[in-house]
Amino acid sequence: MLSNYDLIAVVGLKGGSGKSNSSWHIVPAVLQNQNQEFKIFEIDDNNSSYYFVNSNLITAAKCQTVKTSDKNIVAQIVVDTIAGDQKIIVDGGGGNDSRRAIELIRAVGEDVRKLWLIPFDRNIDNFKSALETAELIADPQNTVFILNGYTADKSEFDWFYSKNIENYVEVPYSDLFHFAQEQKLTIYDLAQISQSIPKSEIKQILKDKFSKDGVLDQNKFIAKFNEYLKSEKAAELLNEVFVNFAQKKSQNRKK
Amino acid sequence: MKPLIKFFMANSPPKRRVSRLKKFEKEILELYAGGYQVEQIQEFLAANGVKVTIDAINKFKRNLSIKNSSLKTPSSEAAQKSKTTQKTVEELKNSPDTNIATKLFLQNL
Repeated sequence: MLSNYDLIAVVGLKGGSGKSNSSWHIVPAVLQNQNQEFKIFEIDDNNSSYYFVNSNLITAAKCQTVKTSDKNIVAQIVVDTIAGDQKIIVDGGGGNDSRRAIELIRAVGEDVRKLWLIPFDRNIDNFKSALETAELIADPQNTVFILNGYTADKSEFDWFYSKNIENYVEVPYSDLFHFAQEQKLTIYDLAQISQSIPKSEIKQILKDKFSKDGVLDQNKFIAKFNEYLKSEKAAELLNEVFVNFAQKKSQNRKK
Repeated sequence: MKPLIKFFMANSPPKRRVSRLKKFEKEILELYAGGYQVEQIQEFLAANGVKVTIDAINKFKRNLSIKNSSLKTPSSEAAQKSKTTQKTVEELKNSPDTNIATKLFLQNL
């Protein structure tokens, strides 16, 4: 889905609906999985929220914080898109920045193919705000909703499904986003641990490390091994997201 | 810590010089007990921003040995096993190809 676009704008008029989750954790991971270079523009009039300083996926060179008052943003996005052979992700900010951010992105022009991602969660106010955002953008062909945080009980989103909206992608609920973020990593980085060290090897390493005189300190072993398992779960979650994005199978979900 | 000592410490900074190695005491002990050579401990310290001579580490280690009678070198079999594991971990830690997330995970191993 993302390969058809030059600019992926993650927007929403309401804060706390998962914009940052999508802009920093999900979309970069999907692009990386497609071996696609990217750059993130964060539109924020206050501070930079770049704190993934331990990330190999999102390095400081790959992101830039800009203010809505910056007159050169549009030109720079166009140049970076055309000259850089890279996808542009725009984190559209929240609150008062949002409307201005949408205007700026629209001003980028028709030559740059734009995809609008509008995240929301099970909170019905966030959903209403997502619909309002879509109306403001008025580009339904290129607008996709992100259902953030669905669980095994998808009935939580029944009111969304009842609207017969076709363009959406599901992102499962997980506390791993926060766990990764606490370490200044993205969920993609977290997943890399289990990709770098096989499970059998880490078991042996931990057994050796936490054994003394042939006795294994089970608490220490379990604590560290659980940390490793979080990485495995992160990889599983991302695989699910990759499939959702690639196949958009969620659109064909039978109600 | 008793309140009186806490109060004194809060108001009077210590004047005696404390070794730069003091804060790595636990790690030095652990590495040494794990069969690591002093040269390797020197490498570990350098990687953590502390450049010291072999003699300084030896001296620090000797003082620790006196204070801590539990400091023992491992049996040859255990040391060999430990070295094998540590080698894998160290290789991963030091490899430029290893991502930061994995290095962080291995940090305290």
